[in-house]
Amino acid sequence: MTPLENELRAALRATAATMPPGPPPPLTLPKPRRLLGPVSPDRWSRRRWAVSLTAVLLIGAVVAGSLALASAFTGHRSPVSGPFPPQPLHVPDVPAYYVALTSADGKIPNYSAKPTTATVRATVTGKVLATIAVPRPYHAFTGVTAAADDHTFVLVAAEAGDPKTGLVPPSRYYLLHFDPASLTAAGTVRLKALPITWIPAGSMALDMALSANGTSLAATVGTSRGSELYVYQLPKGNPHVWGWSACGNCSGDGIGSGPSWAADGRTVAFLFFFSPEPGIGVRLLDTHAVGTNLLTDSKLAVPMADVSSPVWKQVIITPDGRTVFAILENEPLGQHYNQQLVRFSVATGQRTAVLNQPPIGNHFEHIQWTSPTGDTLLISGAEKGGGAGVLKNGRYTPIPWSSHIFAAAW
Amino acid sequence: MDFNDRGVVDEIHSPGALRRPRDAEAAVEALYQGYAPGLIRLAYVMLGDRPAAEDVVQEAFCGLYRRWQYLAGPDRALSYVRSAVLNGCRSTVRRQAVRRALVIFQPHAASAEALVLSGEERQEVMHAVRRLPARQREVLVLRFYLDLPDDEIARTMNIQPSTVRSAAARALETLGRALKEPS
Repeated sequence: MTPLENELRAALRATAATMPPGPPPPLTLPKPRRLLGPVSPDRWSRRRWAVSLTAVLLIGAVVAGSLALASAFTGHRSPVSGPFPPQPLHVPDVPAYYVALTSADGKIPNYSAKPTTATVRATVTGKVLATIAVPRPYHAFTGVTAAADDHTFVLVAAEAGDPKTGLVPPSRYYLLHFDPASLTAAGTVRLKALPITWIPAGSMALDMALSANGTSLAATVGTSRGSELYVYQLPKGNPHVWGWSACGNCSGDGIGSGPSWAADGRTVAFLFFFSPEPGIGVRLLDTHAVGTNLLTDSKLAVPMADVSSPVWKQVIITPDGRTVFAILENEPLGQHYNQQLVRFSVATGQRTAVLNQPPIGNHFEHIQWTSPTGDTLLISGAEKGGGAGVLKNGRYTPIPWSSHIFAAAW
Repeated sequence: MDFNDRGVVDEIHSPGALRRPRDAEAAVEALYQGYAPGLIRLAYVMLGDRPAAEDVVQEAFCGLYRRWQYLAGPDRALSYVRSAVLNGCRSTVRRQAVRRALVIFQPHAASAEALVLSGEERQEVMHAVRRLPARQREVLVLRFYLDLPDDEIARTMNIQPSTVRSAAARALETLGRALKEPS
Protein backbone atom coordinates (compact mmCIF):
# COMPACT_ATOMS: atom_id res chain seq x y z
CA MET A 1 0.00 0.00 0.00
CA THR A 2 1.34 3.41 -0.95
CA PRO A 3 1.67 6.36 1.43
CA LEU A 4 -1.25 8.02 -0.31
CA GLU A 5 -3.44 4.96 0.14
CA ASN A 6 -2.41 4.73 3.80
CA GLU A 7 -3.23 8.38 4.28
CA LEU A 8 -6.59 7.95 2.61
CA ARG A 9 -7.47 4.90 4.68
CA ALA A 10 -6.52 6.70 7.89
CA ALA A 11 -8.52 9.78 6.90
CA LEU A 12 -11.63 7.75 6.11
CA ARG A 13 -11.44 5.84 9.37
CA ALA A 14 -10.69 8.91 11.38
CA THR A 15 -13.67 10.63 9.78
CA ALA A 16 -15.90 7.68 10.63
CA ALA A 17 -14.64 7.87 14.19
CA THR A 18 -15.89 11.44 14.49
CA MET A 19 -19.50 10.30 14.17
CA PRO A 20 -21.45 11.23 17.29
CA PRO A 21 -21.94 8.09 19.37
CA GLY A 22 -25.27 6.42 19.95
CA PRO A 23 -27.30 3.43 18.85
CA PRO A 24 -29.12 3.47 15.53
CA PRO A 25 -32.70 4.69 15.72
CA PRO A 26 -35.38 1.99 15.70
CA LEU A 27 -36.28 0.71 12.27
CA THR A 28 -39.72 1.79 11.07
CA LEU A 29 -40.89 -0.46 8.29
CA PRO A 30 -43.74 0.50 5.97
CA LYS A 31 -47.13 -1.01 6.73
CA PRO A 32 -48.50 -3.57 4.26
CA ARG A 33 -50.94 -1.97 1.82
CA ARG A 34 -54.61 -2.70 2.48
CA LEU A 35 -57.79 -1.91 0.61
CA LEU A 36 -59.71 1.00 2.09
CA GLY A 37 -63.15 -0.04 3.27
CA PRO A 38 -65.05 -3.24 2.65
CA VAL A 39 -65.32 -4.43 -0.91
CA SER A 40 -68.11 -6.71 -2.05
CA PRO A 41 -67.06 -9.86 -3.91
CA ASP A 42 -68.89 -8.62 -7.00
CA ARG A 43 -67.22 -5.23 -6.87
CA TRP A 44 -63.85 -6.88 -6.24
CA SER A 45 -64.37 -9.10 -9.23
CA ARG A 46 -65.13 -6.10 -11.42
CA ARG A 47 -62.17 -4.26 -10.01
CA ARG A 48 -59.86 -7.18 -10.80
CA TRP A 49 -61.25 -7.32 -14.31
CA ALA A 50 -60.76 -3.60 -14.73
CA VAL A 51 -57.25 -3.82 -13.35
CA SER A 52 -56.42 -6.66 -15.71
CA LEU A 53 -57.72 -4.77 -18.71
CA THR A 54 -55.84 -1.65 -17.69
CA ALA A 55 -52.69 -3.69 -17.18
CA VAL A 56 -53.01 -5.28 -20.60
CA LEU A 57 -53.49 -1.89 -22.24
CA LEU A 58 -50.62 -0.38 -20.32
CA ILE A 59 -48.29 -3.27 -21.11
CA GLY A 60 -49.25 -3.04 -24.76
CA ALA A 61 -48.50 0.66 -24.80
CA VAL A 62 -45.18 0.16 -23.04
CA VAL A 63 -44.14 -2.65 -25.40
CA ALA A 64 -45.10 -0.59 -28.45
CA GLY A 65 -43.25 2.40 -27.06
CA SER A 66 -40.20 0.30 -26.24
CA LEU A 67 -40.05 -1.14 -29.74
CA ALA A 68 -40.34 2.31 -31.23
CA LEU A 69 -37.61 3.58 -28.93
CA ALA A 70 -35.36 0.62 -29.68
CA SER A 71 -35.78 1.18 -33.40
CA ALA A 72 -35.03 4.86 -33.01
CA PHE A 73 -31.97 4.12 -30.93
CA THR A 74 -30.39 1.45 -33.08
CA GLY A 75 -31.49 2.95 -36.36
CA HIS A 76 -32.93 -0.28 -37.68
CA ARG A 77 -35.70 -2.74 -37.02
CA SER A 78 -35.52 -4.47 -33.67
CA PRO A 79 -36.24 -8.15 -33.24
CA VAL A 80 -39.88 -8.70 -32.43
CA SER A 81 -42.02 -11.47 -30.99
CA GLY A 82 -39.96 -11.91 -27.88
CA PRO A 83 -36.37 -13.01 -27.58
CA PHE A 84 -36.63 -15.50 -30.46
CA PRO A 85 -37.49 -13.91 -33.77
CA PRO A 86 -39.62 -16.18 -35.93
CA GLN A 87 -37.06 -16.14 -38.72
CA PRO A 88 -33.31 -16.55 -38.22
CA LEU A 89 -31.45 -13.29 -38.51
CA HIS A 90 -28.87 -12.91 -41.18
CA VAL A 91 -25.72 -12.52 -39.12
CA PRO A 92 -22.71 -12.72 -41.37
CA ASP A 93 -19.22 -13.79 -40.48
CA VAL A 94 -19.66 -14.50 -36.80
CA PRO A 95 -19.07 -17.79 -34.99
CA ALA A 96 -22.11 -20.03 -34.83
CA TYR A 97 -21.94 -20.80 -31.12
CA TYR A 98 -21.07 -19.13 -27.89
CA VAL A 99 -20.93 -20.03 -24.22
CA ALA A 100 -22.86 -17.77 -21.89
CA LEU A 101 -22.74 -17.57 -18.12
CA THR A 102 -26.00 -16.62 -16.53
CA SER A 103 -27.08 -15.51 -13.09
CA ALA A 104 -30.53 -14.80 -11.77
CA ASP A 105 -30.27 -11.07 -12.27
CA GLY A 106 -27.72 -10.93 -15.07
CA LYS A 107 -25.15 -9.39 -12.75
CA ILE A 108 -21.75 -10.73 -11.85
CA PRO A 109 -22.60 -13.40 -9.31
CA ASN A 110 -21.99 -13.11 -5.66
CA TYR A 111 -19.97 -16.16 -4.81
CA SER A 112 -22.36 -16.99 -2.05
CA ALA A 113 -25.44 -16.67 -4.24
CA LYS A 114 -27.18 -19.37 -6.17
CA PRO A 115 -24.96 -21.28 -8.57
CA THR A 116 -24.51 -19.84 -12.02
CA THR A 117 -25.06 -21.83 -15.19
CA ALA A 118 -23.03 -22.15 -18.34
CA THR A 119 -24.93 -22.69 -21.55
CA VAL A 120 -23.89 -23.35 -25.11
CA ARG A 121 -26.04 -21.17 -27.37
CA ALA A 122 -26.54 -20.60 -31.04
CA THR A 123 -25.57 -17.07 -32.05
CA VAL A 124 -28.30 -16.56 -34.63
CA THR A 125 -31.25 -17.97 -32.71
CA GLY A 126 -30.09 -17.60 -29.13
CA LYS A 127 -31.28 -21.14 -28.54
CA VAL A 128 -29.75 -23.00 -25.63
CA LEU A 129 -28.14 -26.13 -27.03
CA ALA A 130 -26.54 -27.48 -23.89
CA THR A 131 -26.43 -26.61 -20.21
CA ILE A 132 -23.37 -27.28 -18.09
CA ALA A 133 -23.60 -27.63 -14.33
CA VAL A 134 -20.85 -26.37 -12.08
CA PRO A 135 -18.66 -29.30 -11.02
CA ARG A 136 -18.35 -29.93 -7.31
CA PRO A 137 -16.91 -28.68 -5.03
CA TYR A 138 -17.15 -25.48 -7.03
CA HIS A 139 -20.15 -23.28 -6.73
CA ALA A 140 -20.33 -20.88 -9.65
CA PHE A 141 -18.84 -20.23 -13.04
CA THR A 142 -17.30 -16.80 -12.97
CA GLY A 143 -15.52 -16.40 -16.31
CA VAL A 144 -15.31 -17.83 -19.81
CA THR A 145 -13.13 -17.42 -22.89
CA ALA A 146 -13.07 -19.07 -26.32
CA ALA A 147 -10.62 -20.34 -28.91
CA ALA A 148 -11.18 -19.52 -32.56
CA ASP A 149 -12.46 -22.99 -33.52
CA ASP A 150 -15.96 -22.29 -32.19
CA HIS A 151 -16.04 -25.35 -29.95
CA THR A 152 -13.23 -24.98 -27.40
CA PHE A 153 -13.70 -22.84 -24.31
CA VAL A 154 -12.09 -22.34 -20.91
CA LEU A 155 -14.24 -21.57 -17.89
CA VAL A 156 -13.36 -20.56 -14.35
CA ALA A 157 -15.32 -22.15 -11.53
CA ALA A 158 -15.13 -20.74 -8.01
CA GLU A 159 -15.98 -22.20 -4.65
CA ALA A 160 -18.66 -20.58 -2.53
CA GLY A 161 -17.42 -17.59 -0.60
CA ASP A 162 -18.42 -16.11 2.70
CA PRO A 163 -20.23 -12.79 2.18
CA LYS A 164 -19.33 -11.70 5.70
CA THR A 165 -15.60 -11.97 5.19
CA GLY A 166 -15.72 -11.02 1.51
CA LEU A 167 -12.70 -13.26 0.95
CA VAL A 168 -12.37 -14.35 -2.64
CA PRO A 169 -12.73 -18.15 -2.70
CA PRO A 170 -10.36 -20.47 -4.57
CA SER A 171 -11.18 -21.26 -8.17
CA ARG A 172 -10.07 -23.51 -10.98
CA TYR A 173 -9.91 -23.56 -14.77
CA TYR A 174 -12.00 -26.01 -16.78
CA LEU A 175 -11.79 -26.92 -20.45
CA LEU A 176 -15.11 -27.16 -22.27
CA HIS A 177 -15.25 -28.87 -25.62
CA PHE A 178 -18.23 -29.79 -27.74
CA ASP A 179 -18.89 -31.28 -31.11
CA PRO A 180 -20.91 -28.77 -33.13
CA ALA A 181 -22.13 -31.47 -35.50
CA SER A 182 -24.02 -33.37 -32.83
CA LEU A 183 -24.75 -30.81 -30.16
CA THR A 184 -28.24 -32.05 -29.57
CA ALA A 185 -27.09 -35.52 -28.62
CA ALA A 186 -26.28 -36.20 -25.00
CA GLY A 187 -22.67 -36.58 -24.08
CA THR A 188 -21.19 -34.40 -26.78
CA VAL A 189 -20.24 -31.64 -24.36
CA ARG A 190 -17.22 -32.43 -22.22
CA LEU A 191 -16.01 -30.43 -19.27
CA LYS A 192 -12.75 -31.37 -17.63
CA ALA A 193 -10.55 -29.73 -15.04
CA LEU A 194 -7.33 -28.40 -16.47
CA PRO A 195 -4.26 -29.71 -14.68
CA ILE A 196 -2.82 -26.25 -14.31
CA THR A 197 -2.29 -24.26 -11.18
CA TRP A 198 -5.31 -23.54 -9.06
CA ILE A 199 -6.12 -19.98 -8.27
CA PRO A 200 -5.77 -19.83 -4.50
CA ALA A 201 -8.17 -18.12 -2.13
CA GLY A 202 -7.64 -14.39 -2.09
CA SER A 203 -6.74 -14.28 -5.77
CA MET A 204 -9.08 -14.32 -8.71
CA ALA A 205 -8.97 -14.43 -12.48
CA LEU A 206 -10.14 -10.96 -13.45
CA ASP A 207 -10.04 -11.32 -17.20
CA MET A 208 -8.75 -14.08 -19.43
CA ALA A 209 -8.27 -14.96 -23.06
CA LEU A 210 -7.64 -18.20 -24.87
CA SER A 211 -5.33 -18.07 -27.86
CA ALA A 212 -6.83 -18.71 -31.29
CA ASN A 213 -5.57 -22.29 -31.43
CA GLY A 214 -6.55 -22.97 -27.81
CA THR A 215 -3.06 -23.88 -26.61
CA SER A 216 -2.30 -20.80 -24.49
CA LEU A 217 -4.37 -19.13 -21.83
CA ALA A 218 -3.62 -15.59 -20.65
CA ALA A 219 -5.27 -14.39 -17.46
CA THR A 220 -5.08 -11.28 -15.38
CA VAL A 221 -5.04 -12.53 -11.82
CA GLY A 222 -5.75 -10.18 -8.97
CA THR A 223 -3.57 -10.94 -5.97
CA SER A 224 -2.59 -9.21 -2.80
CA ARG A 225 0.44 -7.93 -4.73
CA GLY A 226 -1.79 -6.27 -7.32
CA SER A 227 -2.75 -7.74 -10.65
CA GLU A 228 -0.37 -9.98 -12.56
CA LEU A 229 -0.50 -11.48 -16.00
CA TYR A 230 -0.39 -15.27 -16.12
CA VAL A 231 0.19 -17.21 -19.32
CA TYR A 232 -0.43 -20.96 -19.22
CA GLN A 233 0.55 -23.45 -21.88
CA LEU A 234 -2.36 -25.86 -22.06
CA PRO A 235 -3.23 -28.44 -21.14
CA LYS A 236 -0.39 -28.64 -18.62
CA GLY A 237 2.25 -26.43 -17.25
CA ASN A 238 2.91 -23.88 -14.60
CA PRO A 239 2.10 -20.33 -15.54
CA HIS A 240 4.65 -17.81 -16.68
CA VAL A 241 3.85 -14.83 -14.49
CA TRP A 242 4.55 -11.22 -15.36
CA GLY A 243 4.29 -8.55 -12.69
CA TRP A 244 5.29 -4.94 -12.64
CA SER A 245 6.71 -4.37 -9.19
CA ALA A 246 9.76 -2.83 -10.83
CA CYS A 247 7.59 0.16 -11.60
CA GLY A 248 8.92 2.19 -8.70
CA ASN A 249 6.45 5.02 -8.41
CA CYS A 250 3.32 3.15 -9.38
CA SER A 251 0.59 1.95 -7.11
CA GLY A 252 -2.51 -0.19 -7.39
CA ASP A 253 -3.41 -2.84 -9.88
CA GLY A 254 -1.89 -1.67 -13.11
CA ILE A 255 -3.58 -3.94 -15.60
CA GLY A 256 -6.81 -2.21 -16.46
CA SER A 257 -8.35 -4.35 -19.12
CA GLY A 258 -7.88 -7.98 -19.72
CA PRO A 259 -5.61 -9.72 -22.15
CA SER A 260 -6.43 -10.48 -25.77
CA TRP A 261 -4.37 -12.52 -28.21
CA ALA A 262 -3.16 -11.78 -31.68
CA ALA A 263 -3.43 -14.82 -33.96
CA ASP A 264 0.33 -15.36 -33.88
CA GLY A 265 -0.21 -17.08 -30.55
CA ARG A 266 2.60 -15.01 -29.10
CA THR A 267 1.42 -11.43 -28.67
CA VAL A 268 -0.94 -10.46 -25.89
CA ALA A 269 -2.45 -6.98 -25.68
CA PHE A 270 -3.35 -5.48 -22.33
CA LEU A 271 -4.10 -2.07 -20.89
CA PHE A 272 -1.63 -0.59 -18.46
CA PHE A 273 -2.77 2.64 -16.93
CA PHE A 274 -0.83 3.70 -13.91
CA SER A 275 0.98 6.97 -14.10
CA PRO A 276 3.44 8.47 -13.41
CA GLU A 277 5.01 5.51 -15.16
CA PRO A 278 5.61 6.41 -18.80
CA GLY A 279 4.12 3.98 -21.22
CA ILE A 280 0.53 3.91 -20.08
CA GLY A 281 -1.91 2.67 -22.69
CA VAL A 282 -2.30 -0.50 -24.68
CA ARG A 283 0.87 -2.56 -24.50
CA LEU A 284 1.83 -5.70 -26.40
CA LEU A 285 3.52 -8.46 -24.42
CA ASP A 286 5.81 -10.92 -26.12
CA THR A 287 4.85 -14.10 -24.31
CA HIS A 288 7.97 -15.85 -25.59
CA ALA A 289 10.09 -13.47 -23.53
CA VAL A 290 11.77 -15.13 -20.58
CA GLY A 291 11.56 -12.26 -18.12
CA THR A 292 8.95 -11.54 -15.49
CA ASN A 293 8.69 -7.77 -15.76
CA LEU A 294 5.49 -6.87 -17.54
CA LEU A 295 6.78 -3.49 -18.66
CA THR A 296 10.19 -4.60 -19.82
CA ASP A 297 8.81 -7.48 -21.86
CA SER A 298 6.07 -5.45 -23.50
CA LYS A 299 6.02 -2.43 -25.75
CA LEU A 300 3.61 0.45 -25.94
CA ALA A 301 1.34 0.23 -28.99
CA VAL A 302 -1.40 2.75 -28.32
CA PRO A 303 -0.41 5.45 -25.86
CA MET A 304 -2.91 6.89 -23.42
CA ALA A 305 -2.48 10.61 -22.92
CA ASP A 306 -3.81 10.81 -19.40
CA VAL A 307 -5.40 8.51 -16.85
CA SER A 308 -7.95 11.15 -15.94
CA SER A 309 -10.36 11.15 -18.83
CA PRO A 310 -11.74 9.33 -20.64
CA VAL A 311 -11.75 6.03 -18.80
CA TRP A 312 -10.46 3.14 -20.89
CA LYS A 313 -12.83 0.36 -19.97
CA GLN A 314 -11.84 -2.41 -22.35
CA VAL A 315 -9.27 -3.00 -25.05
CA ILE A 316 -9.03 -5.86 -27.53
CA ILE A 317 -6.57 -6.52 -30.32
CA THR A 318 -7.71 -7.99 -33.62
CA PRO A 319 -6.25 -11.41 -34.47
CA ASP A 320 -4.22 -9.90 -37.33
CA GLY A 321 -2.51 -7.73 -34.73
CA ARG A 322 -3.02 -4.52 -36.68
CA THR A 323 -5.95 -2.92 -34.88
CA VAL A 324 -6.96 -2.24 -31.30
CA PHE A 325 -10.52 -1.46 -30.31
CA ALA A 326 -11.25 0.30 -27.06
CA ILE A 327 -14.34 1.23 -25.12
CA LEU A 328 -13.78 4.69 -23.69
CA GLU A 329 -16.07 6.27 -21.16
CA ASN A 330 -16.36 9.96 -20.61
CA GLU A 331 -16.88 10.77 -17.00
CA PRO A 332 -17.69 14.41 -16.50
CA LEU A 333 -18.30 15.86 -13.08
CA GLY A 334 -22.03 15.83 -13.77
CA GLN A 335 -24.22 12.78 -13.98
CA HIS A 336 -24.14 12.17 -17.71
CA TYR A 337 -21.89 9.53 -19.17
CA ASN A 338 -21.42 8.20 -22.61
CA GLN A 339 -19.17 5.58 -24.16
CA GLN A 340 -17.26 5.50 -27.38
CA LEU A 341 -16.19 2.48 -29.35
CA VAL A 342 -12.89 3.64 -30.80
CA ARG A 343 -10.56 2.02 -33.33
CA PHE A 344 -6.78 2.53 -33.14
CA SER A 345 -4.00 1.59 -35.50
CA VAL A 346 -1.27 -0.49 -33.88
CA ALA A 347 1.22 0.73 -36.48
CA THR A 348 0.76 4.40 -35.66
CA GLY A 349 -0.84 4.28 -32.22
CA GLN A 350 -3.37 6.78 -33.49
CA ARG A 351 -7.14 6.79 -33.27
CA THR A 352 -8.59 5.99 -36.69
CA ALA A 353 -12.35 5.93 -36.09
CA VAL A 354 -15.10 6.31 -33.54
CA LEU A 355 -17.63 3.62 -34.35
CA ASN A 356 -20.46 4.51 -32.00
CA GLN A 357 -21.26 6.55 -28.92
CA PRO A 358 -24.06 4.98 -26.91
CA PRO A 359 -25.35 6.73 -23.82
CA ILE A 360 -24.99 4.78 -20.61
CA GLY A 361 -28.01 3.44 -18.84
CA ASN A 362 -27.81 0.49 -16.54
CA HIS A 363 -25.47 -1.24 -18.89
CA PHE A 364 -22.04 -0.91 -20.39
CA GLU A 365 -20.66 -1.72 -23.73
CA HIS A 366 -18.36 -4.69 -24.16
CA ILE A 367 -16.61 -6.05 -27.23
CA GLN A 368 -17.31 -9.75 -27.11
CA TRP A 369 -15.55 -10.82 -30.28
CA THR A 370 -13.71 -9.39 -33.26
CA SER A 371 -13.17 -10.85 -36.70
CA PRO A 372 -9.55 -11.33 -37.81
CA THR A 373 -9.32 -7.85 -39.33
CA GLY A 374 -11.82 -6.10 -37.09
CA ASP A 375 -14.35 -5.43 -39.82
CA THR A 376 -17.00 -7.31 -37.83
CA LEU A 377 -17.52 -6.98 -34.10
CA LEU A 378 -19.86 -8.63 -31.65
CA ILE A 379 -20.72 -6.19 -28.92
CA SER A 380 -23.04 -6.23 -25.96
CA GLY A 381 -24.54 -3.37 -24.01
CA ALA A 382 -24.81 -0.99 -26.95
CA GLU A 383 -28.57 -0.85 -26.68
CA LYS A 384 -30.65 0.55 -23.90
CA GLY A 385 -31.45 -2.26 -21.52
CA GLY A 386 -28.53 -4.38 -22.63
CA GLY A 387 -28.69 -6.74 -25.58
CA ALA A 388 -25.99 -7.73 -28.01
CA GLY A 389 -25.46 -7.47 -31.71
CA VAL A 390 -23.14 -7.54 -34.67
CA LEU A 391 -21.53 -4.32 -35.85
CA LYS A 392 -20.35 -4.42 -39.45
CA ASN A 393 -19.92 -1.58 -41.92
CA GLY A 394 -21.55 0.82 -39.52
CA ARG A 395 -24.68 -1.31 -39.27
CA TYR A 396 -25.73 -2.88 -36.00
CA THR A 397 -27.76 -6.09 -36.17
CA PRO A 398 -29.12 -7.27 -32.82
CA ILE A 399 -28.97 -10.93 -31.92
CA PRO A 400 -31.19 -12.73 -29.41
CA TRP A 401 -29.87 -12.15 -25.95
CA SER A 402 -30.90 -13.06 -22.45
CA SER A 403 -30.88 -10.46 -19.71
CA HIS A 404 -29.54 -13.16 -17.40
CA ILE A 405 -26.19 -13.31 -19.21
CA PHE A 406 -23.34 -11.71 -17.32
CA ALA A 407 -20.47 -13.08 -19.39
CA ALA A 408 -20.13 -14.70 -22.79
CA ALA A 409 -17.42 -15.88 -25.14
CA TRP A 410 -17.32 -16.59 -28.85
CA MET B 1 -35.64 -24.83 -24.44
CA ASP B 2 -36.94 -21.57 -23.09
CA PHE B 3 -34.54 -18.68 -23.42
CA ASN B 4 -35.61 -17.15 -20.18
CA ASP B 5 -33.83 -19.71 -18.01
CA ARG B 6 -37.10 -20.49 -16.37
CA GLY B 7 -35.61 -22.67 -13.75
CA VAL B 8 -33.75 -19.70 -12.38
CA VAL B 9 -36.71 -17.40 -12.66
CA ASP B 10 -38.97 -19.89 -10.95
CA GLU B 11 -36.54 -20.19 -8.11
CA ILE B 12 -36.57 -16.47 -7.54
CA HIS B 13 -40.31 -16.26 -7.42
CA SER B 14 -40.99 -19.49 -5.61
CA PRO B 15 -42.69 -18.92 -2.29
CA GLY B 16 -40.36 -19.74 0.55
CA ALA B 17 -40.39 -19.51 4.28
CA LEU B 18 -38.57 -16.20 4.26
CA ARG B 19 -40.93 -14.69 1.72
CA ARG B 20 -43.89 -14.41 4.09
CA PRO B 21 -44.36 -10.83 5.34
CA ARG B 22 -43.84 -11.62 9.00
CA ASP B 23 -40.63 -13.50 8.30
CA ALA B 24 -39.49 -10.75 5.98
CA GLU B 25 -40.06 -8.20 8.72
CA ALA B 26 -38.12 -10.30 11.21
CA ALA B 27 -35.31 -10.92 8.76
CA VAL B 28 -34.99 -7.25 7.83
CA GLU B 29 -35.11 -6.27 11.50
CA ALA B 30 -32.34 -8.76 12.24
CA LEU B 31 -30.24 -7.43 9.41
CA TYR B 32 -30.83 -3.91 10.62
CA GLN B 33 -29.68 -4.81 14.11
CA GLY B 34 -26.54 -6.41 12.73
CA TYR B 35 -25.56 -4.03 9.99
CA ALA B 36 -27.17 -0.65 10.63
CA PRO B 37 -24.35 0.76 12.80
CA GLY B 38 -21.74 0.02 10.14
CA LEU B 39 -23.90 1.27 7.33
CA ILE B 40 -24.75 4.47 9.18
CA ARG B 41 -21.04 5.01 9.65
CA LEU B 42 -20.49 4.39 5.94
CA ALA B 43 -23.18 6.93 5.06
CA TYR B 44 -21.68 9.31 7.59
CA VAL B 45 -18.31 9.10 5.84
CA MET B 46 -20.07 9.96 2.59
CA LEU B 47 -22.32 12.70 3.98
CA GLY B 48 -20.72 14.01 7.15
CA ASP B 49 -24.07 14.28 8.88
CA ARG B 50 -25.37 11.63 11.25
CA PRO B 51 -29.13 12.37 10.98
CA ALA B 52 -28.88 12.37 7.20
CA ALA B 53 -26.89 9.12 7.35
CA GLU B 54 -29.54 7.53 9.59
CA ASP B 55 -32.28 8.60 7.17
CA VAL B 56 -30.44 7.09 4.22
CA VAL B 57 -29.94 3.78 6.03
CA GLN B 58 -33.54 3.73 7.25
CA GLU B 59 -34.78 4.26 3.71
CA ALA B 60 -32.44 1.58 2.39
CA PHE B 61 -33.84 -0.99 4.81
CA CYS B 62 -37.41 0.04 3.98
CA GLY B 63 -36.54 -0.56 0.33
CA LEU B 64 -35.07 -3.92 1.26
CA TYR B 65 -38.28 -4.85 3.05
CA ARG B 66 -40.43 -3.82 0.10
CA ARG B 67 -38.33 -5.86 -2.30
CA TRP B 68 -37.66 -8.80 -0.02
CA GLN B 69 -39.75 -11.27 -2.02
CA TYR B 70 -37.87 -10.42 -5.19
CA LEU B 71 -34.38 -10.90 -3.81
CA ALA B 72 -32.54 -13.90 -5.22
CA GLY B 73 -31.76 -14.95 -1.68
CA PRO B 74 -31.26 -13.58 1.81
CA ASP B 75 -27.52 -13.61 1.25
CA ARG B 76 -28.00 -10.90 -1.38
CA ALA B 77 -29.59 -8.60 1.14
CA LEU B 78 -26.39 -7.02 2.38
CA SER B 79 -25.23 -6.27 -1.16
CA TYR B 80 -28.62 -4.79 -1.95
CA VAL B 81 -28.80 -2.60 1.11
CA ARG B 82 -25.20 -1.42 0.67
CA SER B 83 -26.01 -0.37 -2.89
CA ALA B 84 -29.14 1.36 -1.65
CA VAL B 85 -27.14 3.28 0.94
CA LEU B 86 -24.71 4.47 -1.73
CA ASN B 87 -27.59 5.53 -3.97
CA GLY B 88 -29.24 7.30 -1.08
CA CYS B 89 -26.04 9.15 -0.26
CA ARG B 90 -25.69 10.18 -3.89
CA SER B 91 -29.23 11.59 -3.91
CA THR B 92 -28.66 13.39 -0.64
CA VAL B 93 -25.43 14.97 -1.86
CA ARG B 94 -27.24 16.07 -5.02
CA ARG B 95 -30.03 17.66 -2.99
CA GLN B 96 -27.50 19.33 -0.76
CA ALA B 97 -25.68 20.65 -3.81
CA VAL B 98 -28.91 22.04 -5.19
CA ARG B 99 -29.53 23.83 -1.94
CA ARG B 100 -25.91 25.01 -2.01
CA ALA B 101 -25.56 23.46 1.39
CA LEU B 102 -22.79 21.06 0.49
CA VAL B 103 -20.22 21.63 3.13
CA ILE B 104 -17.07 19.93 4.15
CA PHE B 105 -18.28 19.00 7.54
CA GLN B 106 -16.55 19.66 10.78
CA PRO B 107 -15.93 16.65 12.95
CA HIS B 108 -18.05 16.63 16.07
CA ALA B 109 -15.57 15.22 18.48
CA ALA B 110 -12.04 14.06 18.57
CA SER B 111 -11.26 10.44 19.27
CA ALA B 112 -8.14 8.34 19.55
CA GLU B 113 -8.61 7.08 16.02
CA ALA B 114 -9.32 10.54 14.73
CA LEU B 115 -6.01 11.69 16.10
CA VAL B 116 -4.07 9.32 13.88
CA LEU B 117 -4.10 12.11 11.39
CA SER B 118 -4.12 15.66 12.50
CA GLY B 119 -7.49 17.29 11.95
CA GLU B 120 -6.09 19.53 9.28
CA GLU B 121 -4.56 16.73 7.24
CA ARG B 122 -7.70 14.67 7.47
CA GLN B 123 -9.84 17.60 6.38
CA GLU B 124 -7.55 18.13 3.44
CA VAL B 125 -7.81 14.50 2.35
CA MET B 126 -11.57 14.41 2.86
CA HIS B 127 -11.96 17.69 1.03
CA ALA B 128 -10.16 16.17 -1.95
CA VAL B 129 -12.22 12.97 -1.70
CA ARG B 130 -15.47 14.91 -1.71
CA ARG B 131 -14.49 16.77 -4.83
CA LEU B 132 -14.15 13.52 -6.79
CA PRO B 133 -16.94 12.38 -9.11
CA ALA B 134 -19.46 10.21 -7.29
CA ARG B 135 -18.33 6.92 -8.75
CA GLN B 136 -14.68 7.47 -7.93
CA ARG B 137 -15.51 8.64 -4.41
CA GLU B 138 -17.63 5.57 -3.77
CA VAL B 139 -14.99 3.19 -5.08
CA LEU B 140 -12.40 4.72 -2.77
CA VAL B 141 -14.67 4.55 0.26
CA LEU B 142 -15.65 0.94 -0.42
CA ARG B 143 -12.07 -0.10 -1.04
CA PHE B 144 -10.23 1.83 1.64
CA TYR B 145 -12.88 2.23 4.32
CA LEU B 146 -14.80 -1.03 4.05
CA ASP B 147 -11.82 -2.95 2.60
CA LEU B 148 -14.10 -4.64 0.10
CA PRO B 149 -12.44 -6.63 -2.68
CA ASP B 150 -12.92 -5.26 -6.17
CA ASP B 151 -15.43 -7.89 -7.23
CA GLU B 152 -17.63 -7.05 -4.25
CA ILE B 153 -17.33 -3.34 -5.01
CA ALA B 154 -18.34 -4.12 -8.58
CA ARG B 155 -21.42 -5.99 -7.40
CA THR B 156 -22.35 -3.27 -4.96
CA MET B 157 -22.06 -0.53 -7.57
CA ASN B 158 -23.34 -2.66 -10.44
CA ILE B 159 -20.28 -1.99 -12.54
CA GLN B 160 -17.52 -4.17 -13.91
CA PRO B 161 -14.39 -5.02 -11.87
CA SER B 162 -12.30 -3.36 -14.56
CA THR B 163 -14.30 -0.17 -14.03
CA VAL B 164 -13.63 -0.42 -10.31
CA ARG B 165 -9.91 -0.64 -10.95
CA SER B 166 -9.84 2.19 -13.44
CA ALA B 167 -12.02 4.42 -11.25
CA ALA B 168 -9.78 3.73 -8.26
CA ALA B 169 -6.66 4.44 -10.27
CA ARG B 170 -8.00 7.69 -11.58
CA ALA B 171 -9.31 8.71 -8.19
CA LEU B 172 -5.94 8.07 -6.57
CA GLU B 173 -4.23 9.96 -9.36
CA THR B 174 -6.51 12.95 -8.91
CA LEU B 175 -6.22 12.73 -5.15
CA GLY B 176 -2.45 12.60 -5.25
CA ARG B 177 -2.36 15.60 -7.52
CA ALA B 178 -4.82 17.56 -5.37
CA LEU B 179 -2.90 16.89 -2.18
CA LYS B 180 0.35 18.06 -3.70
CA GLU B 181 -1.15 21.37 -4.75
CA PRO B 182 -0.80 24.18 -2.25
CA SER B 183 -4.18 24.98 -0.77
